[in-house]
Amino acid sequence: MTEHEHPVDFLPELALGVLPAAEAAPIRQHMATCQPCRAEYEEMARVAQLLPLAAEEIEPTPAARERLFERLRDEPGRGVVAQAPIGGPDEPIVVSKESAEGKIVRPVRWRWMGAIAASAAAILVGGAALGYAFRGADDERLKDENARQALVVEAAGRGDLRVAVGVSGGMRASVVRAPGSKEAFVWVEGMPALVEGKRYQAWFTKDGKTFEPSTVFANGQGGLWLPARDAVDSYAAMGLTIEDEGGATEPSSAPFVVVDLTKSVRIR
Amino acid sequence: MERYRLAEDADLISAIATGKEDALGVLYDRYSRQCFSFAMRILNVEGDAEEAVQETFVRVWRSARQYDVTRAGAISWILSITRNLCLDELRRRRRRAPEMPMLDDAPERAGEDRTDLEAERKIMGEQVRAALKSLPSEQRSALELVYFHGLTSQEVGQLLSVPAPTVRSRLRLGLLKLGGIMQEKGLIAID
Repeated sequence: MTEHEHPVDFLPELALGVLPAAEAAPIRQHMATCQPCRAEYEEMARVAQLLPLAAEEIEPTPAARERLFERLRDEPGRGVVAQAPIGGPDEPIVVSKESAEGKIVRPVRWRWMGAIAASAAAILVGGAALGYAFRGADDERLKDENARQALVVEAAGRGDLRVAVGVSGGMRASVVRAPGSKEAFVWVEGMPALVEGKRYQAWFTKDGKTFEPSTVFANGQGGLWLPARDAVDSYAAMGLTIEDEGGATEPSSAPFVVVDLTKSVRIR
Repeated sequence: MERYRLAEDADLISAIATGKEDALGVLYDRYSRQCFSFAMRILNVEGDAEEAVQETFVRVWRSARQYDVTRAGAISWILSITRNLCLDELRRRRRRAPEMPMLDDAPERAGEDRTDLEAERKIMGEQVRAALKSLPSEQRSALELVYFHGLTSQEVGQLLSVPAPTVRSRLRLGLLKLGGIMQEKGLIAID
């Protein structure tokens, strides 16, 4: 597209949110330097924002509200509220949902094995994660990012990169690794909300019984590197839990997302 | 929950990000009707619309930390989640059984007592609907098929047996005309 070609015919679809990203990118680029197109797009976007109001107002049933909060009770991360209460000292501080309700907590390893089995059914594999692998990450442990990326790029060049994806609800973790490497790159998204003093922690396991701690991190969406004691290929799964800020030596709960590393596919 | 009743949307979302269910309850009470109406307008099936609303607020719960107040107002953010979920559902339906999208308005029901804010929103809704209805039918159909049914110009063109560029032109004219009407009514400010 030259600077003299104004993509005005495509602005409505962009404003209405139906233009594929690949087609939207050059138009956004054009608008960065073309004020008339930008102004027209912004006007259309303002109109589009009001279009939901065109729907006649209808009330959802009260049962819908109840179902929402019932569902939230099963959400990972819920009940691990350890933050100072906003509402005053009368607000209870719940350490964990299970202990607060007096339930018996089964040994972690069995719950991990169950989660791995459940996750296996939901494993999605594909090359999409490769795109994530080159995005930025903000974990403190990312000191040698360039060297690590080079390893991944090199493996990608050889057609040796492998990706495994675990999904659970709206959460997703994509693990990309090069053969023999003692580090994997993971891209996470849609993670449960963290309360103050809590962090996500990654774990590797070979047998579902013993767990090796890896990176502790705070961002619920983004990429980071996961160092392991042995080659990542030798592990059966990677899982994520919520732990105290400094991390833990053993997972305190079942993982909310498990990536079955045995179900990896090669990215070509 | 009372402590959050008067909280700003952004403060509610911050509280949700720290695991405050009460804050989510207030946000739900504030916007679930708008979300549900919007979902019904797109899906036209009550059960599916309720499911979309539930999923919307679950995603708000999970993603509250990622909400960026500088990028979008809370309701825009929430409705964009609802719309994406509804359009995904429409695509699933089309894969199962291709059908002609319906352009009729969703059924209207009597509302309950409204606050001033809700009354204002209702008036705005009426104005937006009136503005849409004032468009030439071919522009209105194109806009509704794209916005409420998530079709591309290509797909609308196939449906209406007109070339895609014609659809794009109708969309553009329709949106610009709507912009003019909304500006006249003071619904939007045009720079």
